Amino acid sequence: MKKPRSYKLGLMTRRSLSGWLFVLPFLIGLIFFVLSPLYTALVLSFNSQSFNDVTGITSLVPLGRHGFEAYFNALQSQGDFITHLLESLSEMIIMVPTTLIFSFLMANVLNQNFFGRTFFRAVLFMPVITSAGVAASMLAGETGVDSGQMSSVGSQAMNLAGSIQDSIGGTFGNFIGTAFDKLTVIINGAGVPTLIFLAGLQTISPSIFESSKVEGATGWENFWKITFPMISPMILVNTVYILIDNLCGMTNPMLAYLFDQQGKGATGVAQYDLMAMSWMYFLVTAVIIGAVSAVISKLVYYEN
Amino acid sequence: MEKTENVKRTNEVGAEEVDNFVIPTLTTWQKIKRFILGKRVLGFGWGIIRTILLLGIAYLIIYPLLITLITSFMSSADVYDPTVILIPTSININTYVAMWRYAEIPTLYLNSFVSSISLAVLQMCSCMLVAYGLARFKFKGNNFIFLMCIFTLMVPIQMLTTSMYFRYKTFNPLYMFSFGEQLSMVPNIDLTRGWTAIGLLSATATMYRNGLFVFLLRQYFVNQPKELEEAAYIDGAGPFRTFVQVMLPSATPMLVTVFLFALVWQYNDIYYITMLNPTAEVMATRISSMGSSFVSSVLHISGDQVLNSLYQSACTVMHVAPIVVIYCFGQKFFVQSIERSGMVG
Repeated sequence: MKKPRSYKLGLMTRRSLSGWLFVLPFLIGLIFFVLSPLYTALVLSFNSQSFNDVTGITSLVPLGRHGFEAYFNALQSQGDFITHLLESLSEMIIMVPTTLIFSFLMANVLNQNFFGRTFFRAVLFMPVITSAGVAASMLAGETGVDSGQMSSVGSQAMNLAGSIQDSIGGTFGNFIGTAFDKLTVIINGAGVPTLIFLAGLQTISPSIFESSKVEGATGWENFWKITFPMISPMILVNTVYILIDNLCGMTNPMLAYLFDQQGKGATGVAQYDLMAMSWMYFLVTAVIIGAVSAVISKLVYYEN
Repeated sequence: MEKTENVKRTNEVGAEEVDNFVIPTLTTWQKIKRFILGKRVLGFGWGIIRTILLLGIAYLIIYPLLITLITSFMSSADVYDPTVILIPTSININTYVAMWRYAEIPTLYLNSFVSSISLAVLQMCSCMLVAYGLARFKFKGNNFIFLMCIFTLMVPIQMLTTSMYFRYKTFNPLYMFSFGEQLSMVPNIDLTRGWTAIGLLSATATMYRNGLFVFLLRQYFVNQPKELEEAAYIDGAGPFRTFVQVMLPSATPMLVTVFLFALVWQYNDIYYITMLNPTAEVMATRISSMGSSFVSSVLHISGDQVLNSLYQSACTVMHVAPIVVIYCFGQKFFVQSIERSGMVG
């Protein structure tokens, strides 16, 4: 009896084949469930389309070709796109560094040893669950209750920033109210990044600090010369995470606008204009995230 | 001989120096400065500042939860009374009783738990397979696929509503990238019936934030020692068996973390469910308007925002309570898991 030798693959080939097998589910999902709708959106942005069925979309037929008309439309005649884009970008410029710094400080504080640390850790990671999806909007008192009509003390209390703003009053009250509003957003966004920073801080071996203390380094020097470089890979991870959270989250002004317009259907902006705006926004976010991560990854210090 | 002499001499010099060394006497001012900057006072001051800071942040986080909880126990008279702000005059559970019956909470709970737990398990399994494949096997395109995982995080699903719905409604594996006429030639599969589409998304690691799970798990697997696997291969285990029997058991905290994230995000998801399974009777989609619909259809009062918010707060508490309980049990895994992944370096 001879073994059929030709069927036996080399070790490396077999390894890479099993690698592909492990990744296969994601590949299928990527092609069928992500790239396909993305491509559909791209094609539809160049065409006006018709819905064939009134009861539901059974087929989407691209009709006339527009070329880049929708894109020019969005950039020129429809001011909404530029306005919302600038709004999201300016919010990003403020919120991303603030959230990053806040989560880094929080991780440093939570890494110290003090009474009640377990309690504070549990509470500070709470936004990971309470700021997600429908729970967030329900807790903010947004769903089911029209915030414009809230008049009683009970429902006013739902909105802390609003009540502070009202009780102080004037421009200063306005400022404090906005600051509080943003602070809540920052705290909610900082849940996962704090977790990642804290994990990074705990992997720094205490012996490094011990030896630097023997050499006479101060806490300040320790922070900049040890903690900061050691944590720099986390800074990259968290910057990308916060950027994605900020630019692609449900609360982003641009996406909220697009989502709102899509919900309006025929009465809102034409579908292909929306698709064009979505694609342009998507490209902008991709460029920003790519550029920022490229710059930061140059500064990251890797121990090994 | 010379060497020992040298040593002796240096020793003597050293001794002389030690003799000459005088401990500096501190002035009173220096003593005070040292006392203030010393560990006790500065440490104590920092302790106080830290506690105030943390309490403030904790207050901001807990405030909405607390206020909702308190409001839900108020009676309708309390909500209207402007003198009642934080403490209800009496604890009233009638709101809960009414909403429990009206909103059919037991059914919603059951549906929500079963669907989100099974979908979270699916997401965890698919993500850990993909992450392991990316972390431990070298093949062409490995890095590209990992980049694609991050890319899926960046694709804003809001902008894809129309095209996603269209593709899933008329799913046809042969014509995923074509339009129009061809679609009528081959039978299309409607994935938006029941949980099919969401289940498939979960099984292929493309559901909400699954790229993040792949990233975290990959980071974990990359940092595990290779010797374990090599030993398993030498003993004759295949890649899959090695993964299940050798790599997975030590990854438990990370898997629990990913499972909890997936569970919470799935439980709270309304976007995918309203788009791909609109008939599902789950907490997330049904509970958010239950308060006002109860007030208008049972109490026959319309447009009363105060009463609406009272009934809605009971619904919110019932929606959030399970995840808060799960969080309390699971939060210790969060730090533990990422700690072990050795993400630094």
